[in-house]
Amino acid sequence: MKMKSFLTYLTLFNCALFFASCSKNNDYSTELNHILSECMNCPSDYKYIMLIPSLGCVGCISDAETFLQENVNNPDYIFLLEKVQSKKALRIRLGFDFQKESRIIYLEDKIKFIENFTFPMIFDTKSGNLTQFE
Amino acid sequence: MLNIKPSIRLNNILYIITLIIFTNCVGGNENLENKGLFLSKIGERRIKIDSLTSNLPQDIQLYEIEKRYILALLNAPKNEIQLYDFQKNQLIEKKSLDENFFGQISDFYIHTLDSIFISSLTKKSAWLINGDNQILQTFKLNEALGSSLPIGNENIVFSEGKLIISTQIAIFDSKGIEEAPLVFIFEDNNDLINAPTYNYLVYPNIYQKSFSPELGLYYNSFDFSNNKFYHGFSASDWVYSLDVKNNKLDSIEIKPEFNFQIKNSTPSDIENVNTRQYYYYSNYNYGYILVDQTKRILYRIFYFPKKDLEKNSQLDYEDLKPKCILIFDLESGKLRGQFNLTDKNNEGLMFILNEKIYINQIQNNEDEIVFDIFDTV
Repeated sequence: MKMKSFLTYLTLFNCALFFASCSKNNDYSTELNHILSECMNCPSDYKYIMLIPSLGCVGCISDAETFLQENVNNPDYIFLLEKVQSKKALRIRLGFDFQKESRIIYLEDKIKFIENFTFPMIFDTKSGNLTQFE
Repeated sequence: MLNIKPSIRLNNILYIITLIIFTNCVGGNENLENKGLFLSKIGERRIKIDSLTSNLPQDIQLYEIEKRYILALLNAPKNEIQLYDFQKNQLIEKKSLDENFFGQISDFYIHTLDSIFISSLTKKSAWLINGDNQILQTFKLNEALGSSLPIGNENIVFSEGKLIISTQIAIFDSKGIEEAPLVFIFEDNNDLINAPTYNYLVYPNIYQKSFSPELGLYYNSFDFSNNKFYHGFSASDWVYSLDVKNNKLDSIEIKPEFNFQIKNSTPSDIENVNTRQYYYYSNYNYGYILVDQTKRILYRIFYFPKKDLEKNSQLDYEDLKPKCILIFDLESGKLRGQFNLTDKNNEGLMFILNEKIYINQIQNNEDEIVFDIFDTV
């Protein structure tokens, strides 16, 4: 129980930091638009952009990867993955070659425009809101 | 007198500042120098892996079973243990373990090819399975106080009829960590029944006031020749040895021979990921330990602060701290050497074979696992 309290504290703290930084939504839109504009083969019919970090909340990233597996062909979504330590390990975990999927953008760099990017996020293109994936 | 005292103080202060600057300059060069025994690379070993095997296994172990050397690795993305004939460089078997039932496998110990112990931090359990993956026995750890840390290095071994599981379970309160039961021992009376004894190892004093997850890790290695479990905490100079047979705890100071201090964390050091990372990268700390039972040497990894670090810079897993390996003679109780490792040495995957130390090499080919072989000279 005490450990749960500690983790809850950490999670709440990170959430507080995240929501405090959410006032910069316009910056996120600009950055995301820039990334997507450079993707020539990406579909344009999506409603949400899911951003998955390579390091951070292990369970959350695992859940996000499961969501990606189940929605890799869902036209509502585009997935943005930041550089991982081992592409092969990610391919094995996902069960397919993510670099050949049209709805997945793999960045050869870390996502730096989100402070404390350790939780998967969902960007709603309609409202412009960036929220934590749960 | 009133006029003299301040000048004396000023002189003293200037002298101390000069001394500190001089010590830092000289010490900075000495710190990173190799001293005493060193590791000499005598070869490489390459193991071919298939497209479903990560080239960065979570764990790797070498066993001598039935006059064969068996290299076993934990392929985390598939939650499976893979067994290789080390001499023939051939895959023998993949033991796939259902993640829904077993959780993520944390560690394993191969007693025979028909008696394999596996443990899972997420399930707070361990199991004995046979060659057909049938469960022969279940061991529950959830009766212990505290909760598992989401980090940690679990180690499971079977020695002289005892199942020993070393894991990182901690009790938190407003003051930090109170106590941590780290080692569970299942005695062999009543045929390994589900009633472990706990050995409560107290965290070193440096952890009493605050706790940073990165520096809270501890590392361990089991010495089968003496039935001792060695534990080294990331922020402590001391390595603890638990004599499993006599239930006796001892400690040895294993540290580099220069002056340094591992700073304790403050709440602001660990308040968010960036400051926590900065705290970790700007600090000294210890890492993995490994015992060479024949040579009676304990190897311990030591990390130096990363140079030219800016407080607001975003760090990556490719940003590595400079590191060295400490070579400690368990017989004489003396440090025999300090040898710098490079960024290509993956100290997280090491084992001993025929008095040589094998260290995983970081390289670009994802279809093989490579080890550099070193001799201590």
